[in-house]
Amino acid sequence: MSDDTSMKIIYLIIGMIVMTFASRCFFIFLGDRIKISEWGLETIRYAPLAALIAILAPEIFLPVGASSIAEFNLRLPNIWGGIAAIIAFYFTRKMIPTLVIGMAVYTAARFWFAL
Amino acid sequence: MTPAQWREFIYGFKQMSHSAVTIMTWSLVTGIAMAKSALTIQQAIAMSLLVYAGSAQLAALPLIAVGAPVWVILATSFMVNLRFVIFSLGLQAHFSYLSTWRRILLGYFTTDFSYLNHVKRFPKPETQKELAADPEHLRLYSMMGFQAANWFFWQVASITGILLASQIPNDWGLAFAGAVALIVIIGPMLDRASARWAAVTAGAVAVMTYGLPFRLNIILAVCAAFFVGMILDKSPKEGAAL
Repeated sequence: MSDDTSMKIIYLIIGMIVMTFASRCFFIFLGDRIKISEWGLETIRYAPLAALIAILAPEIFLPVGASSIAEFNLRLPNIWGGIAAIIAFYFTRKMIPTLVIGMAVYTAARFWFAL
Repeated sequence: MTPAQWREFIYGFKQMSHSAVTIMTWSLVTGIAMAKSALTIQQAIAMSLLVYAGSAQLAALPLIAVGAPVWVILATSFMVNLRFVIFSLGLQAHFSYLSTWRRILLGYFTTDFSYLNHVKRFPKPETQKELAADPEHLRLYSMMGFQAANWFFWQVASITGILLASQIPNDWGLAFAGAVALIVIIGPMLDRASARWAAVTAGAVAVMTYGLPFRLNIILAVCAAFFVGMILDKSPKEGAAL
């Protein structure tokens, strides 16, 4: 790796540390200067859930490295593995069975669609 | 620490240990992905120990691979970390009595797992009266226990992943295991109909707008979820997450 790239990575890591602080301490930095109304608190209640879903959903319904919805297709093993994992979690509420069933269906689907 | 504070800390640590498999799945996958990317082992370990934000790290890797400018990667990191901005609002409400530095430190270590565990145990911030009756700040110590366990399990599996990555073939589809770990984190949040509809809406919007730069699809998904949540929620007072 050239010195140039390695400097870039160092800046990047420092920047990402700053982003971790900027997000996790956002309202802590603002302190008591910002008062959020009850209505505001109600409105943002689903924000963490929605943000996590927005990270997860494309990983299940789009191919790795996809750039848009146009790449959606039912031959993606992630979709079937994801659905299996969701069903497994619904019934067991536990990590291990969810992981085992999700990965098993995902792997089976990969071989099936590769045929 | 006083004995009572220590007890709370241990309680938090043990409670978080129940999520150890989920945490370690996610962080093992993150560690392996980092080691298999353009990062050196040292850079990957530094990122794991210092950035300590798995979803942002995973989002950064493909951008590093295509040589995206640093500011683009940082903007994307912030977007992927957006949920933490909301958590920080809750933290500020729960721990406003602490000094700024203590709160910043507490904020830095507050991940999905520790925040969700804390608000599950204490849905509302302490009232003035409760605070006065709790000079040892016991809630702070159970939170620190959550955070310590979360950090420990995360780093152990993440660094293991970084060091073992060269032994693990690419075609096991381990990235998918990271997605499954997210399902397990999200599942318990879907505890009523309005949350489930908000989630379905957010998911559909996020997938349909995935082509946008800087993961702006996350913002659109959050806005869509606000909208659906507000329309559907008939009993907004009970079980507020903040």
